[in-house]
Amino acid sequence: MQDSRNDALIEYLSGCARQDAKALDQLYRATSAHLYAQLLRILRHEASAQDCLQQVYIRVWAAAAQYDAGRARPMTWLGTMTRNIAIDWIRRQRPSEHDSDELIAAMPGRSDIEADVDLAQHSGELHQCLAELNDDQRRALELAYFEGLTHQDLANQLDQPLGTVKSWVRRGLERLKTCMSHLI
Amino acid sequence: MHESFDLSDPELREAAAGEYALGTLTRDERAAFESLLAVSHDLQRDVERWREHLNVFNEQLPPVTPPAHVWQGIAEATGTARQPWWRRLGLWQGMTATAFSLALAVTLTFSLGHNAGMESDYVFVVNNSDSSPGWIVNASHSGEMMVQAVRPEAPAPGKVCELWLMAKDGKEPMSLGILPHSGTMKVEVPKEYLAAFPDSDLVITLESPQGAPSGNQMGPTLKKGQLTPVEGRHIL
Repeated sequence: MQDSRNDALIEYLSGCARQDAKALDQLYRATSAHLYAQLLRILRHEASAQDCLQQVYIRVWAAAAQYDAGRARPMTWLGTMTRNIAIDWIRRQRPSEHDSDELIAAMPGRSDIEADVDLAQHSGELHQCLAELNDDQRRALELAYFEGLTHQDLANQLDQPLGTVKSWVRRGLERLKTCMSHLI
Repeated sequence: MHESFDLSDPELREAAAGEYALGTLTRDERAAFESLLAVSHDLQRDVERWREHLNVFNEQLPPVTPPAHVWQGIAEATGTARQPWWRRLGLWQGMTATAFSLALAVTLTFSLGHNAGMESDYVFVVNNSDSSPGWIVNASHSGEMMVQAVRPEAPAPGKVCELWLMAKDGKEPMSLGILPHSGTMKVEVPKEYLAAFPDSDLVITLESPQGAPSGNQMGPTLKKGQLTPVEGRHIL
């Protein structure tokens, strides 16, 4: 099932590389709900997530020829691009009048979005490898992954010593790698 | 730089690849890592593998269907929308606001002359601050103009964007109307401006909702440009 989905996505990306409009349409239908969910989690702001989602597919249309199926699964490639665009967006906002904290605080529907995300992450459907992380490790990795936080940012946000946070990240990554490697 | 950040040790190097993919390296660590990454295929594969591992965070998220207008914007910006020719803008992305004339040359490689009821002899593209097209203005020799809202940026609250024809013969600037936020707007250039209008500047100003009182009392200029002839459409 997963392989056939990957094959279809690879075919759509290949079509986009040939500037086949139908392939972009198919790719969007197959992936946009996942990438939009990712953007909502990172940005926690619907209008911004929608703008970034447009940027993602415009960039995919321009860069699909660079996709190499031998190096990354389609959703990983798309997810990495999506994350980069979203984190760039956050960093561009930080020095402006729309301070990111202020922006996030002012977002409409923030609590609903967070509730959805929390629901997914505590509904018992957690990926088995994430379930192997303890709460501190998972929280640190999630914050770094979704919000682009460095070790120091994490230490500040979690109100923990830098060394503790580094340890959570390092051990969390080790556990994740060990578990994921067994699944492959 | 952290004392344990030792890229000569294979285990630490692999761990660093994980932190690189996660994004937690400091600027110095990142620079050191990237200098090695540029020449090491093994390290590139490590990073790719870590990205696969970390993608599990995305896989946890329940899908959320985006609103329909998102796809419309993508289809318009990529030129894949099944829409009239003037909305096919596939080659526009990435172009700068000052490069609209170059962008024009690219767009004109699309099939011209099928513009539903109006002969287009000139075009002017108004780009947004992020270089995406906001409006397209098509004009005919006869002075018929059509303004198409593609995806214009919203002006400041309580303000509108007004389009002006700036004749170079000293006539008072001629308002062509308030630019629409969506859809199209048709305008006829007055006869007294017709002779000079292809060489006139088009200016967009920021105004209160009722528009500027006169051509001599315009608000601040947001954009300025000229109509470009459609002839010579295969410039590139």
